[in-house]
Amino acid sequence: MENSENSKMDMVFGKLMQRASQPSVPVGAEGRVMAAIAATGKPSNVVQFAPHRTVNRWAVGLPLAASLLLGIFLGAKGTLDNYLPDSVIGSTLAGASDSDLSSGLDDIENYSDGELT
Amino acid sequence: MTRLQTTSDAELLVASARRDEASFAELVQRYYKPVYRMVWRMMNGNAETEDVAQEAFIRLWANPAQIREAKALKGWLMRVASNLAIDRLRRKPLADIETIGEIADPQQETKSGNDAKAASRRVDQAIAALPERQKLALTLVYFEGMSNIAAASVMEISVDAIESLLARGRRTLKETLADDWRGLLEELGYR
Repeated sequence: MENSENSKMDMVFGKLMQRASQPSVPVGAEGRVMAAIAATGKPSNVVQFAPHRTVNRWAVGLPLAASLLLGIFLGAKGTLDNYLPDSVIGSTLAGASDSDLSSGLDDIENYSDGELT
Repeated sequence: MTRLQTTSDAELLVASARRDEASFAELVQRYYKPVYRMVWRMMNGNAETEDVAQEAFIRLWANPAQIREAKALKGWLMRVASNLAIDRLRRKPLADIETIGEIADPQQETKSGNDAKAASRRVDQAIAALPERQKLALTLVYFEGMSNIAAASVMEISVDAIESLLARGRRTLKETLADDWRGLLEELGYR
């Protein structure tokens, strides 16, 4: 019952819509579309840049990161001091024995005892 | 009948992607009218209708390969054209646009009698006053004969949502055109 009522209303509504005016396409409109396309469709004068050759980021980044970590580890351990040239670790440090390496604390004690002027 | 007239949309799209203007002209021939009618309805017969319809085809020409399935072509054109029409209306509300005379004030017509032309203009005026999404839904379904599913696809909404838009649009029109509605019921033998 409700369905037939709905279909009746649909039919009446359809009839109502049929009363609306239908536009007519202006004469030559399709031709004007093609004219606009002919004007815009010309090949571009812009020369495209060739894309940059890219390298795999991981292939470069991973060894670099590993070598950095190894450098930090060896540097912190002091292992590298035996291999690095004097110019890097300093000539004084290279030729000095442990006793020559003053921390400066002794000087403070001497100063407090009045031995330094 | 030319060879292009019997060529499928899919083949015409492929040829258009190779910049074959004759193939594209055939697509324009096939789909310009429904696109124009829909835009005309959305823009209430505004003079910019042709520009908007044309823009939709220019966008298709810019990249025909973006249509992955040829059967989606009409829906794609309708979607692009309706979006362009809505954008144009939002930028420049209808009150500011010089509308063409096809959708005129129905009051003038009713004074000279309740003839078919006056009824037609009353319906046009009532449709023109609908919110844009209700108007688009009604246009696609009632004027372009699309199924609810196809219209929902054009509007990128669910079928439930389009049914809701249609119901609201019908209700508004029925209220606005109450006299015509009653007249039609009597004409058709309903009370």
